[in-house]
Amino acid sequence: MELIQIWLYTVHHSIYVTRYKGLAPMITICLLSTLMFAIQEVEAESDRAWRTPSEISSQVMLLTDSQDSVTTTIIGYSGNGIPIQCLQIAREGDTPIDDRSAILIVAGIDGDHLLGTEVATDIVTSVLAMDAESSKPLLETHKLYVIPQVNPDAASFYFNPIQNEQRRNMTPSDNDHDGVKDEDGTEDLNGDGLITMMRVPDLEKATHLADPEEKRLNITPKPLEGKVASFVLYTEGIDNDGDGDYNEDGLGGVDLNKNFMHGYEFHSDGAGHWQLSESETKALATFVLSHQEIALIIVYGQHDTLSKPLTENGKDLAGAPKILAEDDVEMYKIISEKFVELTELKDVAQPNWDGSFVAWSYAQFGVPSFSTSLWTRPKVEDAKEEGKGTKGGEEPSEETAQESDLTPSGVGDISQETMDELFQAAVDAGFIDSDDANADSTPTLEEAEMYCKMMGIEIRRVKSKKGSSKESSADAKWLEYSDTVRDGEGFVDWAPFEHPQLGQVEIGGWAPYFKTLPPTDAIEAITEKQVAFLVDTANRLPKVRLSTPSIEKLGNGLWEVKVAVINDGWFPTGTAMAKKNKRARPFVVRLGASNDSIVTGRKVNLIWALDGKGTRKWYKWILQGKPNEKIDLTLYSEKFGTKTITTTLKETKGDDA
Amino acid sequence: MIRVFILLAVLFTSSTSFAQAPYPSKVDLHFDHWYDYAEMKTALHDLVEAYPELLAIESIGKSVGGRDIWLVTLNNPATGSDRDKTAMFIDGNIHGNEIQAAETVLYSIWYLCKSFGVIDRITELIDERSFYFVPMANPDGREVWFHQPADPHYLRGGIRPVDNDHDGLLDEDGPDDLDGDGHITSMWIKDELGRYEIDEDDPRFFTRVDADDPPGGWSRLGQEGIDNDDDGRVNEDGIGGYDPNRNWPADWQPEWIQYGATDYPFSLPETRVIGEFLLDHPNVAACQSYHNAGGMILQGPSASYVKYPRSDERVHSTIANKGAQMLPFYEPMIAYKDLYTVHGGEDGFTYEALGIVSFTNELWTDKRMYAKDTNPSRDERKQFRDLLQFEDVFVPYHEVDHPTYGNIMVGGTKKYSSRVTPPWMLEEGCHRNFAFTMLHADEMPLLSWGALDVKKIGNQLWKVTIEVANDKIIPSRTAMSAKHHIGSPDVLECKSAGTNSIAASGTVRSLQKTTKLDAIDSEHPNRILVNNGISGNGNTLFQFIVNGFGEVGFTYTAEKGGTLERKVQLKEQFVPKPIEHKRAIPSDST
Repeated sequence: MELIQIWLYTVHHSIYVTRYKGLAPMITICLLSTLMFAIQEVEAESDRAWRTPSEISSQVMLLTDSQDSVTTTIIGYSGNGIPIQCLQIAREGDTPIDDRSAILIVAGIDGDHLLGTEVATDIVTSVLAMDAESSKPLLETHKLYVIPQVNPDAASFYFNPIQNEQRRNMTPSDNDHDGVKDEDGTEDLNGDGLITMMRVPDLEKATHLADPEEKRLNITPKPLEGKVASFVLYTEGIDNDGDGDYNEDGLGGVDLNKNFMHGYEFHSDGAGHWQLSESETKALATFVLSHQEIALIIVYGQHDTLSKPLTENGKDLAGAPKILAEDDVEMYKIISEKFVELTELKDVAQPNWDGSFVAWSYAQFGVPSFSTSLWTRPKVEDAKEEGKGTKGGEEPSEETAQESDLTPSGVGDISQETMDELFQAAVDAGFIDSDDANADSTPTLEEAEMYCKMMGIEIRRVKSKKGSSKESSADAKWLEYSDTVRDGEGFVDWAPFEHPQLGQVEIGGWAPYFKTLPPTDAIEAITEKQVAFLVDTANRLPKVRLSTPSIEKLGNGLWEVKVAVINDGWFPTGTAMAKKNKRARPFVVRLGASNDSIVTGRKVNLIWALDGKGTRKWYKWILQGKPNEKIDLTLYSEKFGTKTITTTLKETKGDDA
Repeated sequence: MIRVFILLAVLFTSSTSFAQAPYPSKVDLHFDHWYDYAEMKTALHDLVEAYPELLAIESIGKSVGGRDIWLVTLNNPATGSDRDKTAMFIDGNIHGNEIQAAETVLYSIWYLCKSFGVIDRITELIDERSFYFVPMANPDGREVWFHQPADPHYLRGGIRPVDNDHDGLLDEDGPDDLDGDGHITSMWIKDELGRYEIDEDDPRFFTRVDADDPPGGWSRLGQEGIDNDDDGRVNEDGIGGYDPNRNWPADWQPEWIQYGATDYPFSLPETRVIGEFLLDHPNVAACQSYHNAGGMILQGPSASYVKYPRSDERVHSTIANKGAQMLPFYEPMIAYKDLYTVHGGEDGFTYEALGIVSFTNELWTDKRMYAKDTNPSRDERKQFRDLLQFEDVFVPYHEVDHPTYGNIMVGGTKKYSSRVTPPWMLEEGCHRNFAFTMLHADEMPLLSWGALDVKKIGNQLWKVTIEVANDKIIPSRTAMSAKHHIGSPDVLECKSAGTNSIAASGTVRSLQKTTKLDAIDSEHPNRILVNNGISGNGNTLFQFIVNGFGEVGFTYTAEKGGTLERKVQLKEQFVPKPIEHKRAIPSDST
């Protein structure tokens, strides 16, 4: 109720357009009733909560205990000693579980990406709940490994009473190179339970200024346009170590997605002392390397390889492809298209993948590896219709036919047309007398927006002719999203504060996790879409078999044996990168006859990569043998299992002669 | 008669003063001997027991095969703990077949201990520095060389199973000692079309016939062995298949770019434990690794695209060039340029990741056979083998019945026929290399206070100029360390009691009146972070503007340079720089 009192106070004591002079009391009553209604609405829904690492772990154990097809192992421990769990989900099927290839889902490498952990955990439940036929590719033909939370230490930061985004792990580190570790972290100065930013006026060291078009945002100076810096930006806190810098060395050590081998950058911020220096990354890499049967990896985290197709982008200094090998581009493009079709998630940020787990999985472990951030800021119009965070999409085009007709009103960027509508609505409702006119004062932008919302007036804004500067356009859209769809909860308005060391500052900025995590009601739909993508991709995995061999009697005890290895799947058995790096184990085609008896052909043959869609590779041997002698043909793959055909030496017509 | 007596007396007394006494060690070790793992372990422990005031030994980890990786610390506690001093790290034998590297490290410990308190220069060196030694960085590989049939290149790596031929089986087909002589030699077979013949001059050897000559009647089948897994190939997948000196993190590259790198850096315990030890000992300012063979003093970079800062390159080259003078027939080389590209090597890591001046020495060169600048000719080699090594390095060809090939000839060079220093030449090689490392150790940063100047510039306002000098070639922070913020910066701190305060601080170029303080913009002028350290053969004049009276205290702390302390009275004074510190080896300029 405090909020109401504050509002009433503001309304009665602020300057507002005299035209609307009579509006305030009526609006107060209006607001009160809407508030009551709103509270009821909110209470009707039960909001799902983000789960702590402990709760995730409990859910994992619950699944393990209640489901025969789920087993869990601990693959390692976080820096603070929390076990990192891996679930295996598999049902009995034609192929023994131990002989199958596996699909691996990894989430929570980035400590702030709680969404990935939620989806990875829920996906297990979803897959188990599917009918047997639909889940067959995941649980019977193959098996599923899920590691929902690689970095529990950082994930727990979301649940602290003072909330501060934390992506990195907890290895103590000297971020500011002053010889001391973690000596100057953030503090919640204004007691709002959030770590935001400070604007510190300082003409000498100033680096930023408020964006004149949207005062909440910070931009870098453009002196030629008259935009001169006036403040420095720091995170919220005091200078604990007296070095003149603020919060430059707090908790948070290594960015785990910078700690892997491909594209690893020595000495860069957050990369760690060397590759796989961290217990979490070591555990993950060791698990993957000791499970050569993993044939497909999907990562939920900050990186994206799906919403926008990855490209071939040259080679690094040692000669390895920086991103994709050229012959893998087509494969990634098609998967990408399917992903967008199923999830409608496009135009997400695509941070550089150097040092990441997904990059290493592709370039060095050598299997098709994909990563998605699962969610991004939705289109504002769609979001309003369908719920707050369910759809991702393209940016609305800047100029619609409507908007180009609008004229400025002088109240922020709200159009005069909107203000007129508001006035008319107030008159219609009897709040004001249309004859009242006093042009001396105007409502603030915030007030006008509030009134419009209450009256149900659509706010139509005038876009500046120049267009918003590139810098702030993404942020401006986040603000719009926050203001219109999320009730402004994404941004803490700048407010003055008396800093014990810096004097008068302003504290405000993005609410932690706002740009990373959607409202929890979005999780279910996201999970559903990811299940669809998972099933579609799993169905594409290689299906390799031996054809029925052809055997021809050549006379004099000589026989010709011919067999084909066929891949009926969509993925090749090895990516172009795997063919290059020769780390992903090849198929071994072995003729079970003594070397002496083989006249032509090799006893042991290797296939590094066999394309899908029915591609065949033929093998032909001439060997010495007795009629009806048993001959084994073995197709062995550490990744895809073993198949053996036993045949006898007699005239046989095989498939595909 | 008396004349004769006097003459005899003079001769008698003077002859004793010409003799040079070799200083005995408390532990009787020989350096015409190769020590297997057990013997080396015993020798190290015997030394530690005999010199407990100087030595300590610990196992820093276990090899793949479960053998201890021994580390010996040499330090004189009377002059400080090992961590408080600038230290040198010396290891060897990371390639299991490069055995004499361990003897060279053993020699270093042995010589230092027996010379302490006896040879002044050595005593000084030990008082000033501390040393960490790992003689056997790859004990498993070493043991294979010693106790399993081997050849000069085997076992370079370790015994972790690797599927070299990708057939799904691990280490299923290695070499076999068909004739049981303890050496893996070669197999030869009679072949009408063969391009080899029995050597005319020396029937013990096969030589290749010229291209336009008729066939010689013999072919080389390959390395001694059988096709254990019946896949048509011989010895294609034995133990080994990785290279521990490609397993270090700096410029680590995957197997398809760098053979032997394994799946990730420090995947091997042997490399990882050394890396972790060095990370935990930031006082190490010099690293030396021993390998064989070739007679080289190698410095990085090991790949053409890796760039070293010029000043550090100069430091490396200066020391290496001096070393080459001390090691006849050894060449100083830059690895990628003069040898070959190595990704993920040890000296690349210790320098690029940890900022330590590092060298790799390849012990033994055939030029030592006749002490000539050129490699010996074929005849000279034969002569060396026959007359100096008494034919002991060679297994004469003899008939063996091979399960597949039938009647063949087996024979060839023994495991110590090349790469390994002949035992009767080993001690000198050990000593010269050891001496090179002592030169390197002596050039590690050694910081000292230089001049002091205090001027009164106002009522209780003082300009205090204090010099920190480094009389050694290696700076207290290499350019690599400074550039990449490796470890902690040096710190110069001014402490004062009561109401004294520091108004400003920074550096000055000289003590001349007109020189202005180059003040550092800082919230804490009492504490200067010196990221670039004190340069080699250099000094820095720091200046503090002190507000107050009485006494102030200065402390200079360098990770690789120890801690200096000095008290300064706030009164007008000038104290010149003390006499230059004695150098172990006179500089070229004198």
